[in-house]
Amino acid sequence: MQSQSADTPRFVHLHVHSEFSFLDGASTLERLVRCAAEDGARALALTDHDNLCGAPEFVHLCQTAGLKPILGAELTLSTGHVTVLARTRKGFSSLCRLLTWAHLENERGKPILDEAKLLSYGEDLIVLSGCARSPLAELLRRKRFEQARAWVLAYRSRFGDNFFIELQRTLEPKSQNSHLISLAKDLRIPLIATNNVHYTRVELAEAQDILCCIRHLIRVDEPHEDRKINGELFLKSRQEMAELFADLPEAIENTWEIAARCEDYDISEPRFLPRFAFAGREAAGRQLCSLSFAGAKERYGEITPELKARLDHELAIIIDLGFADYFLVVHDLVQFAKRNRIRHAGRGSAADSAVAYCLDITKVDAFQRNLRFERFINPQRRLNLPDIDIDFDARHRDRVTEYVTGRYGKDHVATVCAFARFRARSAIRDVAKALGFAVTDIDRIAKTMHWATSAKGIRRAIERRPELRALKIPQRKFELLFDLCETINDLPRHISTHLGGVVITGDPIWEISPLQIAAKGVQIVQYDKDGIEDLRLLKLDLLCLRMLGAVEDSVTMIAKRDPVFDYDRIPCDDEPTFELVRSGESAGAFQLESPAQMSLHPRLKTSTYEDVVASVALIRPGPVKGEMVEPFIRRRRGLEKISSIHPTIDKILRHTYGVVLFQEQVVSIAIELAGFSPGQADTLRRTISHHRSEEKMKQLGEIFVAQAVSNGVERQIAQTVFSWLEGYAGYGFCEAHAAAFGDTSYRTAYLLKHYPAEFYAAILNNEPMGYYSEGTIVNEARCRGIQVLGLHIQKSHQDFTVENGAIRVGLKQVKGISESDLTTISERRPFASWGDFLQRASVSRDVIENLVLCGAFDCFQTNRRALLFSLGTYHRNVSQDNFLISSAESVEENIPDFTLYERMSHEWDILGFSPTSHPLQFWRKALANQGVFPNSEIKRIRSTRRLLRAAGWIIRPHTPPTKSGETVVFFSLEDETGLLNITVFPRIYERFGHLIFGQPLVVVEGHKDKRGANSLVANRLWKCPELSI
Amino acid sequence: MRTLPVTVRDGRPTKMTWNRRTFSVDKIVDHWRESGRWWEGEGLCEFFLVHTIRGMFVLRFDPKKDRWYAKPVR
Amino acid sequence: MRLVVYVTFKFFYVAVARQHDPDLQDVPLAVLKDNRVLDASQEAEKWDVHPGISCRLAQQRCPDLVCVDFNPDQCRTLYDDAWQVFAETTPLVEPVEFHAGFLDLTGCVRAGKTVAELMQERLTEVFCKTDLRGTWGGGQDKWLARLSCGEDRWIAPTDEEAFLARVSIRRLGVSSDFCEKLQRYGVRSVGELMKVPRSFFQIHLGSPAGAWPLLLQRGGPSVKALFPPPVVQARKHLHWGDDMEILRAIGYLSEEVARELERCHQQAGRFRVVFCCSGGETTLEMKPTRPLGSAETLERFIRRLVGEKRPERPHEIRVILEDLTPLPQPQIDLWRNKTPLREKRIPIEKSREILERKYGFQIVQSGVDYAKTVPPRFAQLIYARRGMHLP
Repeated sequence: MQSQSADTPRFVHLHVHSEFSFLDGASTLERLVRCAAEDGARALALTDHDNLCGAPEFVHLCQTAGLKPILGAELTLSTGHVTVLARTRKGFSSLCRLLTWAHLENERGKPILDEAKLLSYGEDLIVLSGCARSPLAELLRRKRFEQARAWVLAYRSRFGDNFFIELQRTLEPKSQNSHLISLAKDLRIPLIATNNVHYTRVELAEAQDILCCIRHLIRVDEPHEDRKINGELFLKSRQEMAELFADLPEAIENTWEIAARCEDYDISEPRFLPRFAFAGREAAGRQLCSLSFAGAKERYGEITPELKARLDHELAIIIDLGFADYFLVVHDLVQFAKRNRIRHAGRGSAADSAVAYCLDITKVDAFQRNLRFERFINPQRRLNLPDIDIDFDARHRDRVTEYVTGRYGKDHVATVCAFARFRARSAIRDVAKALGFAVTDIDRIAKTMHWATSAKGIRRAIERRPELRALKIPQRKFELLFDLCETINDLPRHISTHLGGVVITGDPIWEISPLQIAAKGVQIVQYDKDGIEDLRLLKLDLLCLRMLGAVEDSVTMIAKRDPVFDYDRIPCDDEPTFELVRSGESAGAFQLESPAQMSLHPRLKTSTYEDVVASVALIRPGPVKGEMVEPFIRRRRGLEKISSIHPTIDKILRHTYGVVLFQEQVVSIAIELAGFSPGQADTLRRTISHHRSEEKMKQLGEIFVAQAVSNGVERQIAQTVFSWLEGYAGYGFCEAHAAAFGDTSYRTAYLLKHYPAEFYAAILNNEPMGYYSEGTIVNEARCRGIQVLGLHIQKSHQDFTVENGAIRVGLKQVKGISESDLTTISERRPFASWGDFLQRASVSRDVIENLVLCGAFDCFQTNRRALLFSLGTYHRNVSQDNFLISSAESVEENIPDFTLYERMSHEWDILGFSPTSHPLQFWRKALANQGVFPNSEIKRIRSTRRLLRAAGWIIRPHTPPTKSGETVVFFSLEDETGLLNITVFPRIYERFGHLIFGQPLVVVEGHKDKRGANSLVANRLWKCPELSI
Repeated sequence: MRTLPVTVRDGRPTKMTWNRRTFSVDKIVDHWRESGRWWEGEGLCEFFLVHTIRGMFVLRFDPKKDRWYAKPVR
Repeated sequence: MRLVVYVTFKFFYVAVARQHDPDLQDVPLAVLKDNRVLDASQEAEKWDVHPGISCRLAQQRCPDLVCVDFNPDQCRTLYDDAWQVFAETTPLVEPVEFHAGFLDLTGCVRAGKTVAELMQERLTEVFCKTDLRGTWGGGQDKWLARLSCGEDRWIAPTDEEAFLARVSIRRLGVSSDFCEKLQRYGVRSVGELMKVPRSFFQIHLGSPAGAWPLLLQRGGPSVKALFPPPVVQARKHLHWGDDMEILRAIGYLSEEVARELERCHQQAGRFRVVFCCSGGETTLEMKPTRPLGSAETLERFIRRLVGEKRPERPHEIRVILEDLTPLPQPQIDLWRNKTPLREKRIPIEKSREILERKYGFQIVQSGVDYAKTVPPRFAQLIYARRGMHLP
């Protein structure tokens, strides 16, 4: 570190808590570093409570600001807190190990380190005696001076001159500073001054106090020993610290000394990449080449020169950047999945790689689609590992994770963490609870905030949103609440688990990151995905996709009647499939089942595989907001001419009809029009996508235009093209990802068209799938003419099955039925009679009642009410092991059965749907008297002028963002004849929006969509009146 | 606590008056700050635990009201 | 044959809330108690907000809904106004809630009039006075009266069976699960329920023997007089009606009522003095700033009130104390320098005994309790949690 001028106090803050001291630190790392840099500090330490979550970001920020980062932590021992700093890289590893022990050996969320371990294993650490909650302060408070002395001597003996006594003058009463000073002088231990920093400015003390209340689940007027009595814990300037310790200048000077002693080390190292059982890069490279070409032969049959060139190009980059092991790791994983028949599909930018396709990591042929490899791996970003995401069958994903752990060892595999941060809703709830607000008030505001609103935007949101304005909240009452919410905006609230991110390391993982157990019970590193990327660790995203489970089940069921069917060899040009997609009746098909998708395809007149791929990218917030959907549709249908701008551009945008839809197109344009190198082009794409500062955009534009002009392109054309890139690239979708998803979409649509019974049965077995409920899926199946057979005690299996082209409801569907009940029934049937069942199947009475009410015993007796009565007269004397059947065999004949409506109600209540009827069919006559048509009839009507009425349940209303910011709502209306898509524009939403989100059953009046989508545009909505059956 | 006149030097009390007698502050035993019930609008106050010939007192200074208060401590 | 009537006032709590805050007029309003809707205005009912649903569901259904918390103190005036009307008809008025209660009209219906007509009159009177609309139902006992609420008629014994056959079992207040189970067995109405043999439910619903008859429990205590609220009063007849006698009477009456107050440990928030003269009655009333309990204070107030205003030669004086509330227990602080025992330097326990004998109460505040009356600084509370004392 450089020395400073004589008057400037040489002070470094060595006890600092950032936002990653969860619910304790009230300032972000960025603010802390900036504040320290502005004060002229040369170094800064980070000592969060029992974690190193902020380490990667802290190091990066300090390096950018020109500060020396000092990594450490405040450790919780059984007797109190001590502050520990990692002097060297080795010290950092030992700190990680100590923290790992603290977390793993204790209850989750309560890490405590055994002091003996700190003394035994704390290599290359600098130890400070700690704050007012340290063991030393506690001993002095209790006047156990001898023990205090012994404690100090023990630490001095272990850590030598790397042990310091910490002094804090934070203006709290009854501090032990005088004793600490005399102890230090007595035993000749150096003193250092710290300020136990929790925030940057004194004004943030209130926010820190509120965070403390949230942490301890107390109200602000309840005292707690952890709460601070004043706001002195801010990042004081060096001058202020020097004045505070004017009588002890050595305490200030020693902080500088410690900072100088700490080495400048890099916490990430190449040794953390796993080696795939081969020594050296060359061996891995050779293995990778061999596997890739073997896979290519399998995929393509013949390896053409062009294909070879492509593969060689990719492999050269992969090997040169040292990523061969990474690919081999992923390939090994995928092979495990294949061997164990676990369905999988790669997604994301990995599908840009032909090597990934040949290794069966992805299902997208990047070579044939001419996808840009540089979108996946940018040769200029050598330090960043590629990111491969793979979807697995949700039921087996954990097996894959277990395989990875078993293969590489528990010490080398952990899940990536994520930080749950305060947004508007969570901030309002937590802060208001701490401030003692009434639950009703808080519910009102929190619920009406959009989930994505940041805590900073609460006041603005209240002004803008009509439903929030209508609450008439007295502003002054909530002034304090909003101020505090804004202050804690985006601070991390707690650590949680990343969805599927898994880290694999070569050397033990706890040498680079502490480990802890998450709420889900898995072992997590303390870095999130950004931290993992900064440290260049190998991360895989092993994600769950229930649709893959549904596909697997479909394939199994289809195989029973069509043994030659091969899902992976489904033809890509099946016209009946496109016809289905065009009709907008694709509920159940992956990505094609939303109302927006089902409205799109009839207009798009989908007739090719590429149309399906494009639709995945089109129905996204970006293109919708950017109003790209309509131009695309018009040009696709030939209703609008595609104006030619430049032959290169025309070629690149040909397959998207002149619209920049994909990020790869941005890269291609930059390379081919402006002569950028592939790496430069990807950098351009990233810059446009992520950095929206006007100055930077302007600079980029100038570079682009200049290079294009030097490439022989007219300036005007270059400027026009750049304006397109500017406008579209911000939300452009990755083509590889669209292709990966589009592939699954097309194939599931194929299954839906050709094997609907199997496909729907499989979907029902894998519910909840996330979009439609079981009732809707069953209704859709019925509308397609597939019979849905009710429960049958003899024939139903546990899951839904297909019986002669009909779907048989599974026993698992019955409310309250347990695994043991299912096993009992399966093992003991067939049952000769109702009485035989009662005698032999030891199933609880509630479950038997449910089985009766949903018709499982209709094969014995169709009068369900009579069965219910006879159940009551059955009595079993278990203690005597003597079955008194009494009159169980006889079922009373003269009891009137349930009506059809009652039967349907019971089935709905117990199964979640009725196999044979839909509620609306009972009210159809009454609805018809009110001029309401069934949905199937409305779909057949072509006229867009006729005023039509439809009624039904509202399914999945959603409000995609629009360019104007107004709210448009899309939802489906379900009746007994199927789904009908409804569009509600802003003016109508203002008047009737409360019904959409408040009432399940509504009547909608409107006209057919003029744009050709088979949907109704609503003019009016009202609650369905009381109807008689 | 009673309000009373206190002589201050460099932000620290040196003399105080109690029961119409003025005497000097021998020693400042402790000094701290309290934010109080900030959510109810209470402001920061400065406290001094002082030793005088008349015994120990807690002196409180309220910067908002610019007033000193004292309370004897046994 | 008894004529028991059950009356309930719709929108009672809404009316109370609106009385206290006129801004709440014409807005969809819900009064909440324990996070559930206690009462909902007509505007809110259009949005399917009704009593019993949770606050969250109500707000979902009606985004414009204004919610206020139930405040029993605010209900008093409307409660008095509404029930007073019935108290003038029958002495047996038993409000069970602010907005609902029983009346016993046995013997109160004049010849030529029906119960329905009488109730109609009374409810009209309530409406004119308070804008509250009421519904009622009647029967021979409280059970039937409650069940028939909303019918606006008295169910004669001969009509009982037909009536019960139409009443859904949900009106008995059982859970919806239990109703659902009964309906599965074809039991939908109270009439049907009454006909079902006891053993049936033991077999099919597994309920203990005594459970189902509780649903149909009839009888119970008869209508009690709970309204009008009790008052303490005393009267004295005067022979001459001169000033001297009036003053003596005031002293005597004050002692009488104070003794009664002391006996039932109450204090009065308001008092009236009624002078009966040949020409009529003159009433003077007063609501002191603090409740009255002692005879001396009462006499002083009455004298001050009566002052110049007393009429000539009254033949009777009545003193009526109203707004009765329980007497707060006096807190005697041994640690303040105000106790009369401070000079005697007797041990604390002995002091306590003497005080308790004198005042007849158990509670004597200790120093720790006294300290609680002076709220500590927040920092002191925090340090107390840390096991340290902060001066």
